[in-house]
Amino acid sequence: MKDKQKLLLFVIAISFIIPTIQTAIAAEPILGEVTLNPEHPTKLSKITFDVNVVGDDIKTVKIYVLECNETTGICQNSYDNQTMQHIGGSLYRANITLDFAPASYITYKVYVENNIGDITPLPNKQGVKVYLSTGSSNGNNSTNNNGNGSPGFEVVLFIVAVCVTGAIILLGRKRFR
Amino acid sequence: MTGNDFTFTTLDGETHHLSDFYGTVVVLDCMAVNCQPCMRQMFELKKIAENYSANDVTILSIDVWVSSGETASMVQDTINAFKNQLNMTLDWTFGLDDAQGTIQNTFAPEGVPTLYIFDKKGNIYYSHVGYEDYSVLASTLDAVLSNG
Repeated sequence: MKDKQKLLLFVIAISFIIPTIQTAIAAEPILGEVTLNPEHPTKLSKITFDVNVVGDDIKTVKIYVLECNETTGICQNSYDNQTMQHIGGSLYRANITLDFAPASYITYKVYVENNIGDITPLPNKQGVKVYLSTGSSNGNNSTNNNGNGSPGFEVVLFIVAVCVTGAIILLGRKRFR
Repeated sequence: MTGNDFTFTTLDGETHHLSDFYGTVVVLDCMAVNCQPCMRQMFELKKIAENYSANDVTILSIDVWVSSGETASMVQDTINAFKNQLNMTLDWTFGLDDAQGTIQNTFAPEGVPTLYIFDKKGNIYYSHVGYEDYSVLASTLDAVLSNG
């Protein structure tokens, strides 16, 4: 019986110790997925980087953005170790304006610096590579009603609408007579 | 820094100058470990290391983004990664620029990689901004070596 009580006490003790260890391990910062807005940026455009970081010991969250040209193989580090702004909760944000005109892609890395200077990088050490779109978007992801690319399309629609409306009115008058 | 001479620090912390290597043709590779084309350039430099005698050609890969936070341990990690993951030994001299970016500002202001070939007296014989194939580098080396 005493053995059973000891075993029970041991199990209870272990059940308290394990969560404590797990909490200590979980205190290391955890970086979420980095999102870009716009998702498909163009060269010389503005990009907003958002990332969620969870952890107890977060001093700063930094981002490293590199602009490169695939063909020539030239890279410039316009934004190195820029501190991301703490927006609230676990969200950190950086607004980056690309400034290397020949760039065809960017690579970015986000890492967390804790209070003793250690860093936790994203799993991808070489950075995440994002090809830049060739469109002329200024980087704003909001819907721009710039038409559908067919000049005069709206005019044709307007004329058709006027004709249909006119026809309906004329037909209606004939019926009433 | 006098003329084309420059000073860099090896990964062991030793200070060296370009002038230490006068008497050999020097390939200067201004690079950064965070730059993917710079990593691709390593394969071309490896071919130089394999095909030219160290008595004739010295390769110096200098990390010029120290001012952006790159460190000797990051360079060493890269060398180790080539060895461990690709079984490729980058068996030439690696070094670092100073924290002010003196070499970067002088030799690689347009970006990395930037490559130079200095003749045996330290004069610039060739320079190129961006990745370059082995064939171009080799023909340039052949030309500068044949000039004595």
